[in-house]
Amino acid sequence: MDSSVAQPVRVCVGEDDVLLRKGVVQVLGDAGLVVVAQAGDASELVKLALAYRPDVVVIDIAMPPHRGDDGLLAAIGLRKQIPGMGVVVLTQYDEPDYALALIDERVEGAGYLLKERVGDVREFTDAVVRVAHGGSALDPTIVARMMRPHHVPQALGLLTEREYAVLKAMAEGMSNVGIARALLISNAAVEKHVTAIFRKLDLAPETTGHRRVQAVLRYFTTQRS
Amino acid sequence: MEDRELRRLVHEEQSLRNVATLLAASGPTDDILTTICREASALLDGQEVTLLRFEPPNTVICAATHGGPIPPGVRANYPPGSLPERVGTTGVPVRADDFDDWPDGELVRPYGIRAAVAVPIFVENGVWGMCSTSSPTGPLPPDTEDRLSAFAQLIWAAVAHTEARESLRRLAEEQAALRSVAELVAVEASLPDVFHAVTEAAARVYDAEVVLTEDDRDLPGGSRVVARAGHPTESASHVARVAILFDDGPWGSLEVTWPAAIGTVERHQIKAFADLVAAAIANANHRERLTQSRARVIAAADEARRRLQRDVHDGAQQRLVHTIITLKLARDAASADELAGFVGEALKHAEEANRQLRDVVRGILPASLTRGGLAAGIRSLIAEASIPVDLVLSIPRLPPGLETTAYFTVAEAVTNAVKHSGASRLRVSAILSEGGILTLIVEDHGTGGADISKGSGLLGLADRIEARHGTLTIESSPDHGTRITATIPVDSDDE
Repeated sequence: MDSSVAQPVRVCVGEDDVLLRKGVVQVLGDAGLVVVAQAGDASELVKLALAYRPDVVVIDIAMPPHRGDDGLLAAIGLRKQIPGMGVVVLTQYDEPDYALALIDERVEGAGYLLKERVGDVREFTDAVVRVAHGGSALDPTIVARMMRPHHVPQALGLLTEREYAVLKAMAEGMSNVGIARALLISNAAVEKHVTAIFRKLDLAPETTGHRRVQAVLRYFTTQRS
Repeated sequence: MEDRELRRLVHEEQSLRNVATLLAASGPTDDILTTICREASALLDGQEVTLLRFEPPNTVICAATHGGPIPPGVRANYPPGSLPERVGTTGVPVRADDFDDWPDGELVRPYGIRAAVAVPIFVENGVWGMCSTSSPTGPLPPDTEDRLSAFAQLIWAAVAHTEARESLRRLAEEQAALRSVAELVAVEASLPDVFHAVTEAAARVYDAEVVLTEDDRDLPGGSRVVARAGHPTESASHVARVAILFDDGPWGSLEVTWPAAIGTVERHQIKAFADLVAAAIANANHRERLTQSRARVIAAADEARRRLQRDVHDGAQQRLVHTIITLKLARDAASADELAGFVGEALKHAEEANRQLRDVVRGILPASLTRGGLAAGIRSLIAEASIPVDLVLSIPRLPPGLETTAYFTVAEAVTNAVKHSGASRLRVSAILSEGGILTLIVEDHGTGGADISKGSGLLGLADRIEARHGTLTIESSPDHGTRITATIPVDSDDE
């Protein structure tokens, strides 16, 4: 995924942990994104987002004033109010259920990352840019938890190791290009693997971005319930 | 011996035998006294005979009669100088030839009595009452006193026996009744059950109407009837009431109303029943206080968990996240291989520490439980399990205390099953019934052996569940595996 788009991606950052906020702003700025505004509590962030209309908002789940779910609620509210705006939620909890609740019906423009992912600069910025452009980003750790063997015994057993890795990357929201780069294989190889995966899991083939992620995530949620 | 004399002796003997037969049988008291009156009447050539009992200081009660005008049960207070008073104080037969000359003339005239003869009946400690015969016309024959007196000995023996037997019967019944009520109290039966048992037992023993009331200042009468037994008595009756205390203050009372037959119910007898009621109330209160105290302890522990989880989230976890991010940035910035190596090491340790800390926090109080409720918590728990689990969930959001208890119940049961049962599959269900009862079931077809006495996990659970007025059942055998069932009511006045 390249960041050399026509216009730089505009971001708002909501994070009450000052050190972390500085880190996020720095990492995104170094990668060429423009942080147009930042806030330390949920209501302030919402105001700024509505005013500045960024491409994507990066927000901590637990923010003042109530520290419970304020960040998440703000994120969900913003998604409803400005459907074209992307939201990346940062959290310390690697609970798949929680992530899936955020993503709900609409996978596009939604991301759920563990806070420590900020230190994986490349992956973090790629994810933020992806979400800004309407894609999705689900933290690899969470995807890994979702995909543990005994939850989907037969099906996953049919996949080769490479196909398994491609499936995981699809769930994380990566595009074919991104997967190719991450796994160090060709685009054509990725496409071949994707087709095989959908056939083996008995899913209707979805080629485009968010519908594909949605299909994969739905597959995992129905397997879990 | 004269014919008449002989006939009288034969009659007497026959009467004796009749009465003796009745005494030997287990007929009720009234029958015996009525029989005595009937036999005496036969001896007096069909004249009416009435037995009257004295009740100090100056009351006379009709105990039985044959052909007499006064119905049994009627009571009256007699004035000084009256026939009953003379009999009671002199202890000899007394004759009234014309009641117009007597102070109690007004008492007897409504019954059409003109004249009477009465003989005293002695029991151990005094005069029990009198046996009398009356006439609506003129005075009674001169030998009436003699003939009645002769019979009076018999009556005395019968009454004494009757009363003794009646006392014995009642004592035995009373003891049996007290014992069965005491058993109810000891097994901590519900208060309504105890209340009904007490009133019914007392009503049976004393053949009376028994009413148990509880004080309630908010009600118009100041009290409410909580239990009632026996049939209401009409007309003349005795009442005895004993107060029931709780915590040194008034709680209510036990009231016994019985008809005016022989015998009386002593207050101390009723007090025995009342004491049992008081004991049951005290026990129930004590139990409830104990349950509430346990609930408070558990709520405090849960609050400590919440605080711990929050503190770790805001404190140690956050610090670790910073460390990890910093190390990642340092790794990217490190140009020298050796430095990159060390930083990479440190990063690995920090990431592992972070993972472990997250697992610990999830064990203390999982985020999915606090945020998403019991269903989310159980789903998250099942996701962690190393064997597949079939899940049935039919629950809305519930009060937090209940969700915490339910979650840890399922968690402990699932952990035990995974660790000990050897089963390849588990089944977990959580269902809220329409009546507001949450039922949790964790079952496997493993090797059994689940025992609440082994290890404190299940015992701690039982404490939690009982503190919320729930029940925990463990069925475990090598043949059928293990099934743990917890039923907990949803409390309306929950936190």
